[in-house]
Amino acid sequence: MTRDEEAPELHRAVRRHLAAGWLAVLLFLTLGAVLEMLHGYKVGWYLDVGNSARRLMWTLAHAHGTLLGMLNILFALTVRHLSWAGGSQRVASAALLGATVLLPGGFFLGGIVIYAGDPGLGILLVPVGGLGLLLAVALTAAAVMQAPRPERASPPARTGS
Amino acid sequence: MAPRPPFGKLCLPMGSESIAVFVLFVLGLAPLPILARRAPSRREAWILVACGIGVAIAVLGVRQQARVKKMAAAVPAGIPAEVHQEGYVSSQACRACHPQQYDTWRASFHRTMTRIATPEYVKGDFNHRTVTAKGLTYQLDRRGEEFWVETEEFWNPPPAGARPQRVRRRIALVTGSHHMQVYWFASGEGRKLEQLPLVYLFEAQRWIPRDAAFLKPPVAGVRVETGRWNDTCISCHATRGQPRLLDDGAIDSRVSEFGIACEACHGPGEAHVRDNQSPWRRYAHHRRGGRQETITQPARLDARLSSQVCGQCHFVAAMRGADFARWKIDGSPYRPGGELDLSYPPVQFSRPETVTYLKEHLPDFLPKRFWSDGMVRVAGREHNGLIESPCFARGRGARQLACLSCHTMHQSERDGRRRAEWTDDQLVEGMDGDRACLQCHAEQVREIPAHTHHAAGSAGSRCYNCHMPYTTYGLLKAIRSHQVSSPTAQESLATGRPNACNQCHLDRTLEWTAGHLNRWYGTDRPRLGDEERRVAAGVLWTLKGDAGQRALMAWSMGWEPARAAAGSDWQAAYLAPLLNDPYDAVRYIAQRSLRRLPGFDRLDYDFAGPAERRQAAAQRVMAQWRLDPRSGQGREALLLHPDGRLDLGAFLRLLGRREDRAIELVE
Repeated sequence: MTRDEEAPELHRAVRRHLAAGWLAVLLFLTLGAVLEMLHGYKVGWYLDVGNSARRLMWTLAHAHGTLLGMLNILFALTVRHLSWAGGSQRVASAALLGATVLLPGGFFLGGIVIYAGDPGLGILLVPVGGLGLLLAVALTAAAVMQAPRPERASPPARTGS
Repeated sequence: MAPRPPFGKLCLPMGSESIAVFVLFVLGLAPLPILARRAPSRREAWILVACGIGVAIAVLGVRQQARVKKMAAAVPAGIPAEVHQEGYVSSQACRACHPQQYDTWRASFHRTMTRIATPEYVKGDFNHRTVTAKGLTYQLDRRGEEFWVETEEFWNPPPAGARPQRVRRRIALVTGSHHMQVYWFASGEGRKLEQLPLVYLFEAQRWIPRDAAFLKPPVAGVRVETGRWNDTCISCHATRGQPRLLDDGAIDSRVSEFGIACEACHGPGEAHVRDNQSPWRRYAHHRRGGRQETITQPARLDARLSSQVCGQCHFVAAMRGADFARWKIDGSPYRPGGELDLSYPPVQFSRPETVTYLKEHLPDFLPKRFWSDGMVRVAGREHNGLIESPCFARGRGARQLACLSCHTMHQSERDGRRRAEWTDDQLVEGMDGDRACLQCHAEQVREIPAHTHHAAGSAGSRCYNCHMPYTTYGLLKAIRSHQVSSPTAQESLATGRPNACNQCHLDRTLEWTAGHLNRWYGTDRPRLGDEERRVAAGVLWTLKGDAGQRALMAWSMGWEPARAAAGSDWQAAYLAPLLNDPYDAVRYIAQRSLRRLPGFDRLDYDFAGPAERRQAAAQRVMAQWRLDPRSGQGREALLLHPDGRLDLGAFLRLLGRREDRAIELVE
């Protein structure tokens, strides 16, 4: 792929992840506000000790969703900074987007129906999303490591006083 | 197996100290990327990062070790060991999967039946308090997280004439519920415990002599209770207690967990925990509705077996000599879900085989616990009452009365009551009223006034008040009988037990009760003596009764429904002599009831004070009572003249015939 062909793909990837990131931050910060409200009104369905699994799951959904949103934004900036295109970028991008849906989504669904100390079956989405996230991070880290290091500027020659 | 510290291995508390260490850990790692960037090569950078992480992990490990050591040091030496054995794993293992059940149990008084004496559990006043009781002086202090007592070595008295040695001991264990706390310290011999002869009473917020908290014949000195926890309390104030009173006199007591924890009712949990370790198996169980064979669920047992789970502690067992020999080593062989009869059958007067041995070999045993007709007389033995109740004996299937018909060990999340309200009796919501009986006797709903002959909604119309009256004694109060029965005058005549009618209508005679019961229900009228026909039953039991009857009457005179039914302008005259009763417990209850009467709320009186001051207080009460105007018209049964004065001659004659036989009620 030539640089001219890469440019639109880069642009699309950056835009996709910026959009996904900011939307995720918006969505999961809103969830955070809802959770605060449940705290405020002392809703037993969320706060009772017997529902601690639900509370944990939704707190995790809120935290993971928000952080994954920010990770998407960082990913977009990384792609643009490195002008990273090609197969590995596409795999990392898909894995990260999948994780952004599956991880918080799994936690959220797992909290809807709970079995005492165990979350609902929605939790099964979490390990899949976790693997996707791991893959995306590993590919991104590898891309960063493989990027050419900027040459260090040589120190100015010392002159005698 | 080595004793373990009293904290779970899995759930270490995440306190502020742990958070601080974690923050330091993160801050310590933060400069590593910068340092790594300054490294001359990538390889050296990785080595630097690895070294940094290694150092941080080592620091955390050392911190954790220090925490575990600190926790272990919190366990006093020379006390019964907490040991996981025979499949018991402790409540900590239940917590993660059953948070609601764990939380409600944790709030209950079952948990605090015995705990290691830490600031979380000790409620007694140890703030440099000096207490004198029964000739001994106790200096009670708190030092950091520890509680200490300094006193004479009462359990090891010196030879005659020698001065007793003062010693300091660290309080090791605390036993108690929502009324009082008892304290224990290591005797220094094996794992044998010594009992502090003081009890801290929550209601009065004061220290009292331990003997005063129980209904026992008065003694001048201190009753030494060396090893009492090891040979008695261990069976029901701990989970899977093994007294291990060894033949050579040594004591090596063990428990699975202090307090009455999950496995006391559900049985050993190791197999259940192992079975549920895998999430796949757990979800398979969830899909099947949660039924599991690896643990006992009392709520799913039939009424008989589920009640035996409670009965293993809330009963008087018919133990023989050989049973006791086995018990004193291994503790009870009963496990929840099993047959209690196969371990030790409960005492039932309807089953002579359960009482014959006790009557022949331990003649004092039954009178300390039962009325003469076999109804339980002391608190904490509700199972014996339940199984003699017609609702249990004749009930079948869902209509068989069980402990769990009215009580629940885990407060429901739908229960709107405050937690403290539930913990008092651990009743299912609504079971403190007629619903408890109407859940089976639904046909009575429309007939309540016709059946009770009392106004609907009045105390006399409450099922409990007639069929489960306050005829058992314990914890310095009267407690409802758990043997469901109907009142008769005959039971009072034969046993001396107050019947439900006269416990409320304290001012009425037994003849009055017999007449009403005969007219309303066709109950046989017993042949009554002259006194029973002329003098109010409450008066007779108060003046002539034994210490147990006097305690019940003293309590009843402060009971609001009894004051509503019988008036409240005469009880002070009868509570006054009880202020100087020989029994501490009777005096305590009498002063409490007296303070609830109009005009006596500021009574200056100490039930544990010197006899002459108690006598003076009683005379002041009588003098004040005489000043209050009242009518005595038609109140001859209360020994009142028509002008309201007391018939002192008759009063003193009855008081002179007080039943002074020594009595002890073993609650």
